[in-house]
Amino acid sequence: MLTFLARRLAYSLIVIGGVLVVVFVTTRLIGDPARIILPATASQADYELQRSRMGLDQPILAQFFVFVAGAVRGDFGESLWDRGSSAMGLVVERIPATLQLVFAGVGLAMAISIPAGILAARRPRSLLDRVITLLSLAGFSVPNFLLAMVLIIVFAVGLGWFYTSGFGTIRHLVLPAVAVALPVAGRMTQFVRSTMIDEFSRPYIATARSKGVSEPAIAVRHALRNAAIPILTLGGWEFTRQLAGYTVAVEVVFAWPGVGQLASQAILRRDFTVIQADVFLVAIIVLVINLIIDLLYTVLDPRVKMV
Amino acid sequence: MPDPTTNPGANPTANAVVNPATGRAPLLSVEGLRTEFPTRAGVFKAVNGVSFIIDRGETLGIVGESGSGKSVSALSLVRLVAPPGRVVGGRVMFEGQDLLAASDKELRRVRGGRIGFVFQDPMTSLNPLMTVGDQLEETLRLHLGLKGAAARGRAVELLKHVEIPAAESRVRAYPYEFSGGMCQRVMIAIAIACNPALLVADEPTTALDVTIQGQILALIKDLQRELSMALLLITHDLGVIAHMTQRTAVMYAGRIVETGPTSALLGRSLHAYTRSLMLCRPTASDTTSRLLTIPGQPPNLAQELHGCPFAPRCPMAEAACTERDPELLELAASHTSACIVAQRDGLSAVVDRLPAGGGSLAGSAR
Repeated sequence: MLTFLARRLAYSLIVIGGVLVVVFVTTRLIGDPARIILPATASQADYELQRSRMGLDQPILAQFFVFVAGAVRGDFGESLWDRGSSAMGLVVERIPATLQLVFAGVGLAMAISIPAGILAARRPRSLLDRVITLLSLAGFSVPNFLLAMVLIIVFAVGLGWFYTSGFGTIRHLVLPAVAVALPVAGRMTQFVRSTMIDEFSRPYIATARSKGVSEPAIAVRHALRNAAIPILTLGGWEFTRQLAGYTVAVEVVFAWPGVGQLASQAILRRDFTVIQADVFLVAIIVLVINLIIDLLYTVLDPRVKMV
Repeated sequence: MPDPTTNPGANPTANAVVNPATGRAPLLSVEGLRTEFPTRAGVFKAVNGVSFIIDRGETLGIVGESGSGKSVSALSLVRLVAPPGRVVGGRVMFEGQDLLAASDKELRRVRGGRIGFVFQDPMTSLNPLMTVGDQLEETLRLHLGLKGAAARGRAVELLKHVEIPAAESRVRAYPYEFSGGMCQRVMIAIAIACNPALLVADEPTTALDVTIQGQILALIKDLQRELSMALLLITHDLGVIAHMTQRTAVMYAGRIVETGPTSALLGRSLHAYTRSLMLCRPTASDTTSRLLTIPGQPPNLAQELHGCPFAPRCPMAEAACTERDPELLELAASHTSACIVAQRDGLSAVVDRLPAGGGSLAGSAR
């Protein structure tokens, strides 16, 4: 176990190192923040001054070392745009809203897709299976920003049940969470269905039936437990995927104050330090979640040993 | 599962099947059992009018090739055939209860409670994520209402009963920590947990090492005697049949083609198919001649069959064999055969007209 954790820590450091290099290089490729922050009429002297204030006049390697030296201490410098605010501070302020949205969205998606997938798998090619499959295909075919707008029109503007935008209460959370959840639920339902069909065909299920176990107990106690690892793996992947940027459109449509909005704004402004802080923090969270999922494997399956 | 049985003309009051040998109702009587699997190529008639009886404490063996319908017959008894397969006809009377007409709830009480099942591959037949104790206790809880320490205690007892060493600690082990033979012992413990009246063992030793096979068969035999269970033993191994059973039914193409006392059936077979099977057994003493095989393949059960289903592969088939559907007739004491030639000419026909070994069945075919 300890060697496992030590090895995972080493791998994680390599991944973080890679992330730092890639994000540093990409930010330098997307444009020049000094040009964007200055009015078009600014003189060449103003421009040079702005670049040196931002530290962009330094040789690229020097910039990189300054960046890495700060990053290892968690210090990504000030926002290039919002002077005086720490880049990491801005991201940390925004991350709880995004985590809340992703947790609610992916949680809702699992709450929909696991029962739906099991029902469909119970009788493949039955009417119920076909209806569930059709709905799930519709679910993951709809882009979430479009879904978000439809939800606003129907449930916020039309019926007035929820708010069109904002953050804070459960009535704020429902529509954005549904907009995140439905495409995820569509994909996951198909996956749960096929995984469960696989499990239902295994000999241990025939044994359970021959023991007189009821069908609901067979589905949950036997088949679902065996399907839990692949389902959890996909759920974790969906979670990190949403966290790493797929909620941006939903956050923008609902004016959700999360990192997605912050990051998209930072990219438009070429706010290098904020982009770097955001990518770094999200990478750390993704690594932690993956580690938690790997540890859950050992709980779910006695055959899995962490070495 | 909807009730798949329609049995026109069956009169529930006049259903007392009586075993002529004992004059009493047998433990299990199966009449005209039919199970079908709808496929794209047509309706696959896996079991096509199978009838047999098993008395209390008796052992019936069912032999046949893969696909002859022996496993499906056994699963059909308690409607365990996986959809889309379904039992479409016949009657299964067990302890006075019509199992094909029983509700799902009543059937669940029979499964694992009154009829225990042991399957072919012990390594995959146990749930890999549950301890063997939990899997045993699941049955004990469902049928006997045992919980907690009482269930655990009984589970340990059962594991000892099937001769698993250190049962107190192994009860907490997972199937992957067990060998194939040990897993099969656990399966047997689960099957006998509620003192069933009938144990169905579907190829219980096929997936095991030869050395383990003997141990498992001996265990089954001991437990059967001790618990006075009836045993339905399904196998393709004639040696196992000879060793374990009093009566045997031979299945081919979804039908029973011969039944009889095991010694008579193996010694003086009255069906060309059974006789051919016997000739195909390898012997340890004969290491020089080539192994015999039966030429051709079993018929496609999705198609309508006319005449004897074995006729196309039978070395002694005559025109009569393909002209009419054979019936099971009693040709000797408790010994029935659906072989048209044997029905006309008797035992000598089957013995004389098939090679005694060494040659090739293929050479004499047709």
